[in-house]
Amino acid sequence: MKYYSRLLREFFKISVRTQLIYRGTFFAGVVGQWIGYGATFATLYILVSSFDLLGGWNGSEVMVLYGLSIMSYAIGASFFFNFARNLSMRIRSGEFDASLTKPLHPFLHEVFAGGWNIGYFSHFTVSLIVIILALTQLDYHITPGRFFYLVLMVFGASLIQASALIASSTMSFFTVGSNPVLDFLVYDVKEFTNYPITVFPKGIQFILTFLLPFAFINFYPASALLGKAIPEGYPVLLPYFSPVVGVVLFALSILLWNWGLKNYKSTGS
Amino acid sequence: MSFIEVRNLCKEYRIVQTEKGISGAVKSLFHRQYTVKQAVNDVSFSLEKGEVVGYIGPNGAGKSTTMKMLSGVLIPTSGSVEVGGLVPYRQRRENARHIGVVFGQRSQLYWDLPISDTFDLYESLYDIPKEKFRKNCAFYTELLEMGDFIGQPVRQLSLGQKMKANIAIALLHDPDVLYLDEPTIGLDVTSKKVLRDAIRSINEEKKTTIMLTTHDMEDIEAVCQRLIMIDHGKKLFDGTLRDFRAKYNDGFSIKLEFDTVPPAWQEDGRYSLAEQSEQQWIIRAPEGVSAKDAMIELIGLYHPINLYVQEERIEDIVRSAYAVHNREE
Repeated sequence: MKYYSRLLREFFKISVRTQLIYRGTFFAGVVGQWIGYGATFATLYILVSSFDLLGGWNGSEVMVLYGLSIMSYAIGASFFFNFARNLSMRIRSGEFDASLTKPLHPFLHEVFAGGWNIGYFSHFTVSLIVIILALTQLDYHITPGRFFYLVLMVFGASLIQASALIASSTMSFFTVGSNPVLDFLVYDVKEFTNYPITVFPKGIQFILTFLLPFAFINFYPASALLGKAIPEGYPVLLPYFSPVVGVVLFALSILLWNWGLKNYKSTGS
Repeated sequence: MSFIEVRNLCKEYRIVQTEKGISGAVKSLFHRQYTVKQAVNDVSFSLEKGEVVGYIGPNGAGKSTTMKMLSGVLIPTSGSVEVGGLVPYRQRRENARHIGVVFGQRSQLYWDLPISDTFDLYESLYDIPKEKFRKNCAFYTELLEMGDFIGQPVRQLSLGQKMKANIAIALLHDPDVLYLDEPTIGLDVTSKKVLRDAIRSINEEKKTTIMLTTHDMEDIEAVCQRLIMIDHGKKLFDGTLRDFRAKYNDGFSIKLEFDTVPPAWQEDGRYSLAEQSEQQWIIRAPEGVSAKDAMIELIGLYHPINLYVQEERIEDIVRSAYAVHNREE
């Protein structure tokens, strides 16, 4: 355990040192993301507000929903985005072999080699500000209990986001080149999480709850937080299951990754 | 039982066959045909602790594949590998604690950070005791002459400096075995010499067993007591360097340079003209002729302004060695 905590410290140290060397790039990135996501939030807010209610949710409530999605993605991706994106390249170049000659599980070593991406600091701050603003607008009283609930939900949601990245990277063990599954899971399917799932047809609600449970990233946590209705006939306690879903998916994605690793045959040179 | 035991080791790759052109590419999308390539074919050898062995062979001979099976990266198709009583691909992490690996030019360093940061990382990664880490840092910095550049970002370093650093980080945890895959490729003469001297010192002082692949015969001559040659996945030779030369090297070549147009070549059935350019000849000397006699004879015949005696390059020896084996089959 001491070994891993020391390694974790070293992981953060190296990641931060690597990325802060290029100060200009770092700050430009942060400001760029702020502007980009700020604009997305603003358009979504204006859009929802002008329609009055979206599936029973008003503009500020949708902001909480979207804010949770971005925040959990920021946390999950800061650890696993580099890892997921680089894996196929590292396998092709043979750099991945190094992870198989280290006294550490290859998964951990790959996460290590990817580094902790502090660029997601900007996503995190934007989403934090939006969530705080939206909750203020809604006259929401944050009690210690509600705060703890929120932290737990964000933790679970981050694990779900991480699982999507890890699971999609498993493709790299089988195909060479770009990773369409990564793009599909991380960008396309997750578009659904911008809106309350109650606006979608029943089939999509089912998929987002039970098959690709992205609704647990933000819809269920936010619906409990804001006292919103969940799809008819679904268990009442479902909104509290995010952390469990997160842990289970995270474990499954690592199992999947390990299975992919077994199939790995190193490049021939 | 030897320290490293390799028995009847085989590794097969399946390679997709694609026909020519776009139609071939489309066809292979739906209907794949594979050919099986024997990258390593029934190779056996054993290494004692503290040996330095050169593992040679032309490109694609199966050197790297063998090294990868020894270090635990690849799973053999059949046969067995044991290193220090461990099966590398099964007890991968335990094995990793006892080995150091440098694969070609694939750097383990963080591009934007000084080498010293990577050193610190490896201290944690291999859980190296503080005192041992401090000592080894000092030892390898001195041995590999890294003092001048240890504080510089890796991206500013030369190829040779990066190679030295990669070798150093592979050794910080005092491994029992060091696998070096083409450590001197692309390096200048000075860097090569520092590396060779270092490899020798490491073997002498730390008793590290070293297995290295190379295309440079001088690497072998400078550091290896023993040589294993493979081609097309098969082991062709295993023995001392002297035995190797005696067995395969049937001569040497002599380069003549002329200040004007060279005289006419006189074919005598003994010497042969291997290469010919405007003012330069490369002549293969026959078996059994000493370099001294050949020089005297050629100077007398052709009056060159310069004359160089060249040993056979490893590639040539390997090629002729393989030709010998092909004939035998």
